[in-house]
Amino acid sequence: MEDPFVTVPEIAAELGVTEVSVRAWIRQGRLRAIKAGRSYRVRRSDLDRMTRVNGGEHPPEPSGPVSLESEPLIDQVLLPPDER
Amino acid sequence: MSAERAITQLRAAEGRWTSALREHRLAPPDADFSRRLRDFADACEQQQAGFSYAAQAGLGWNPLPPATARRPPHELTPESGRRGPQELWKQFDETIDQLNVALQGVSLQAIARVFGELSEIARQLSVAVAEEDAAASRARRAV
Repeated sequence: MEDPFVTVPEIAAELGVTEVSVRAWIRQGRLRAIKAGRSYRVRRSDLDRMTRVNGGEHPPEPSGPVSLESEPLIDQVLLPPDER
Repeated sequence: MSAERAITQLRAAEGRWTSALREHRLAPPDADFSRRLRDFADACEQQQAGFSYAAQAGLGWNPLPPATARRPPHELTPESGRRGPQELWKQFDETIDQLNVALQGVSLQAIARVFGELSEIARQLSVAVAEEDAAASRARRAV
């Protein structure tokens, strides 16, 4: 069965997120990708697997209630690679 | 639109947000509830602007770990017997749940949108509580 490659911009457009987020998933190992020169290529099947996992088929076990004050939001913001 | 400016905006918004939450946590019961709600609404509005700006600047979001709920300070929960229209408080609670979902997602725009809704509801609550306080004060003077 055909399993085409998709690019980071294509994934970002498809999921409605920034390219920075997609590259972060790749660096964190949440999305499998191969390096093609300076960019990444992702197999469609790997993208589908990640979105299924994150979409609730096998969601990670949530913790109990936490306080809104306990997690600094600024720590979760990801800078573009050229700004780091 | 630079990433550096976006981070500056987000840091300012975060400061105001944590300060508004702290005020609700430390406040004596009842006193100045309306003003604290207004400050909370202002903080949410600034978060909305900061997250919108960050999305436009091309920044990303690393999802917060899943949690069954992310709870606001006690004064803003149903257990506190909070004053104001219950229908608005119901919307407030639902929007806090939406914020939890958005913070576990990957979209800065989604987070911005929820902060905007939260700001709008908190502002309406602030006005409603201020009106209740004014009516109670008038009633006390009339006795």
